[in-house]
Amino acid sequence: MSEQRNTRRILCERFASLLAALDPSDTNFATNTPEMAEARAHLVGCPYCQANQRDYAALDGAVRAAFGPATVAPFRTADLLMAVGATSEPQSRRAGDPIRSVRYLKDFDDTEGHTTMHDTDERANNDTAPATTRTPPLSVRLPRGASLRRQALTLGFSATAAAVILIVVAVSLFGAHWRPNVAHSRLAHTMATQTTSLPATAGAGIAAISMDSPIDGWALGDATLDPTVTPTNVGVAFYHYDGHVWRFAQRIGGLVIYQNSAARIHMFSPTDGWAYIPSSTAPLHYDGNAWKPAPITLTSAEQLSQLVGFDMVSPTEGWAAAYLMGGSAGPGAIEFLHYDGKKWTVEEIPFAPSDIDLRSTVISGFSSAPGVVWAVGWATRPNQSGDNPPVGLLFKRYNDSGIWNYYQQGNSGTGIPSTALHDVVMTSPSSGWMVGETVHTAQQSNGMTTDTASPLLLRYDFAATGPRWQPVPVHVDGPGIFKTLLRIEAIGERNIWIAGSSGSTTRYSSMSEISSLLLHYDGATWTSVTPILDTGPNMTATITTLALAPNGDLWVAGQIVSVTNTYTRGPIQPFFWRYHDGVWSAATVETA
Amino acid sequence: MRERAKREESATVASPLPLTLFTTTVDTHQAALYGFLRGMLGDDEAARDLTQDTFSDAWRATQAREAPWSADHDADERRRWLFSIAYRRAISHLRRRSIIRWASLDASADPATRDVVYSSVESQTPFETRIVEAEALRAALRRLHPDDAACLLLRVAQGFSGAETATVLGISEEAAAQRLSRARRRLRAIYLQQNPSDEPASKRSDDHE
Repeated sequence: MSEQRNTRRILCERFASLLAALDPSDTNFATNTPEMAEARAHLVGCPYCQANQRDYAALDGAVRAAFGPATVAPFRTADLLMAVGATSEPQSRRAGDPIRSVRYLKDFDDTEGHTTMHDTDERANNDTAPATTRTPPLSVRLPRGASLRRQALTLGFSATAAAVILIVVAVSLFGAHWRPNVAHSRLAHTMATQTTSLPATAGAGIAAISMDSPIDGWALGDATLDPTVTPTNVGVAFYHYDGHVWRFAQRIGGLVIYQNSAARIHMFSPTDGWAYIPSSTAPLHYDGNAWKPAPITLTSAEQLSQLVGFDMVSPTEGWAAAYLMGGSAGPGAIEFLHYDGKKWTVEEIPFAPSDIDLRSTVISGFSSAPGVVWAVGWATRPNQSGDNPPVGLLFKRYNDSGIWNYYQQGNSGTGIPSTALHDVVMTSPSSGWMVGETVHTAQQSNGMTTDTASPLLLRYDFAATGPRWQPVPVHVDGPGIFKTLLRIEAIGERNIWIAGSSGSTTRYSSMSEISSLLLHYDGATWTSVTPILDTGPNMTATITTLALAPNGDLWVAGQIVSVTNTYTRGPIQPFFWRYHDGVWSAATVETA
Repeated sequence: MRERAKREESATVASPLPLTLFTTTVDTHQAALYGFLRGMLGDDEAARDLTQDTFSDAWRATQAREAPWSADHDADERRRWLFSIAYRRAISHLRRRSIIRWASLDASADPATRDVVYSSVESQTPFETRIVEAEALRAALRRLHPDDAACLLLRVAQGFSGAETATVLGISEEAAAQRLSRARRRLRAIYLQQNPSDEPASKRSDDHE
């Protein structure tokens, strides 16, 4: 026995350097030599070397997350091009007009640019709209670094971008390998929790809200400390509504919300709720006392590297999409994860189209109806002209088989409108709604391109149109040129609300350049709704999210900021407005 | 020789690279390049500088229609070129600053990151759960030889194949494999040295006991 151990140990030492260079995904890299074959054979039967490989895999994952392609770009491309002398003009940017709190009109006669998503396995061949476009919407994407070192620009975007770089890295790393029984105590150290008051210098925009009753709800927002944006200064804040006021309840440092539309919070009772920070590695759970991370531990060999989507649709049904590593997961593999109330399991995403950049994938919405689950999102599609247009991603799961189907919009050629899908809600297995935007690109004289977007609303009505998603024309007036629909909530078929935004620039817009869209469906007609609330002189309110309470009350939330001009703005304050029996009211917010 | 002749030939007849393609290249690779340089330098600001410098080189090469910055070459070649230039600039930068450093593990010198790095040192969590400490990882990476670190970053973080890595670094495939092996083993050892309470998976395996 001892001799056997010694023999194996000798082999372990002999193969140590070979195995450290082993990359299962690269079959051409020194892996086909007889010695490597021998090392592989040894590895199969040696727990010690297998454990070593797990260490390397864990380190690889951390290195990849910290320094890999997911790193946020340090510069805006247009600025970098100008800095290196490739262009003489920066990309078109519009100064933000002072905006009113909300502005939108109703007119549903514009069908341009819409497409149909058929509920079949075949791609839709719709060629009615303009060709390719470029980036996803400004309102859901953090600006890449907004300043070059020699060209300090404006608004502290670079600091934000730097923070995001660090935090995406940190968040990607934190918890990538947590185990439930140890993670909470560990997190208590690494993610400082604060429950006394929200620091006065903290940002305070609201990203998501959920009401488990008319008098109990929670909201999730930004709590990054200004002006010094560092990994230790970023954070998220939770607010609680007790039937009277919204009150700051908890701050968790080390996390950052850089994509409002993908952030989620879902309360099922006053003592059971879930929240998701985009690109984090673990959802957060509320147990009646505090919000804590609830790491996802998989029963299979794969390990979760980073979440790209998450939502709980009931206390015992959760869905996520995540980058996985290890096990049978290939490099950059994204799969769905299913929570049945007890454990998480991996479910294969049936899509790997070669023309889509999987690294850009965002799964922003899940909705469940008896027998089916739908998921929506978007990714980018690199093309020769460099536009990298978004492409909507649509998935449907038949629960009896447990198999996901993927529906790609259009073909990868030209002539197909580019879309991004942001949210979906099913009111029944045969009826649902989906929101996003259709993006158009125009070529400028300097060779650069400008994006515009129109809101995209799709209806699934099996009785009326069969198994397909049919566009519902939406036209929203106003000066913005990048109009998108971001969130949709429904109670039944006759009380459905949509929140969106209208940006006056195509990308990297500051908040002053965004106004809000709010639409309501009563079962027959969509109408735009304008909250009539006085936000004060020079105060701009931007709705970022909404929620319906079980009694049908609508809550909208977002941020109010005083704006005197494009580059001067005061501290951000959260707001919560309620729409009850046709009357708008503003709730008191306590942050201290 | 044949390669050189080919380059010279391509230089004389090369088709200009459209601005849109150059823009695409910038857009596609600047984040990855920046990540690579951050890993090499451990200094975000310097990484930003060198990212910009690398693309300045690329634009000059584009204007001169040097390979692979003409329409006759494919995007993969340009990607390798960018990382090759970035690698050389990083090495040069480290030499100039005399910080090809075997950095102290005393990261607590930086109070801003102390909590991040060491906040859970007391906890008896397994190795896999502990490498999540981002700053600790960066500190450990800085202790690698820059050539080994470059190899690790290219292969693991950037997804280059062994052959591509060898091309970027100007070494043989075998040498690249050795560097990767050395980098992985050393990084693991450094990390464990830095975090003595960590217990590697290999220690947990009782196969040798």
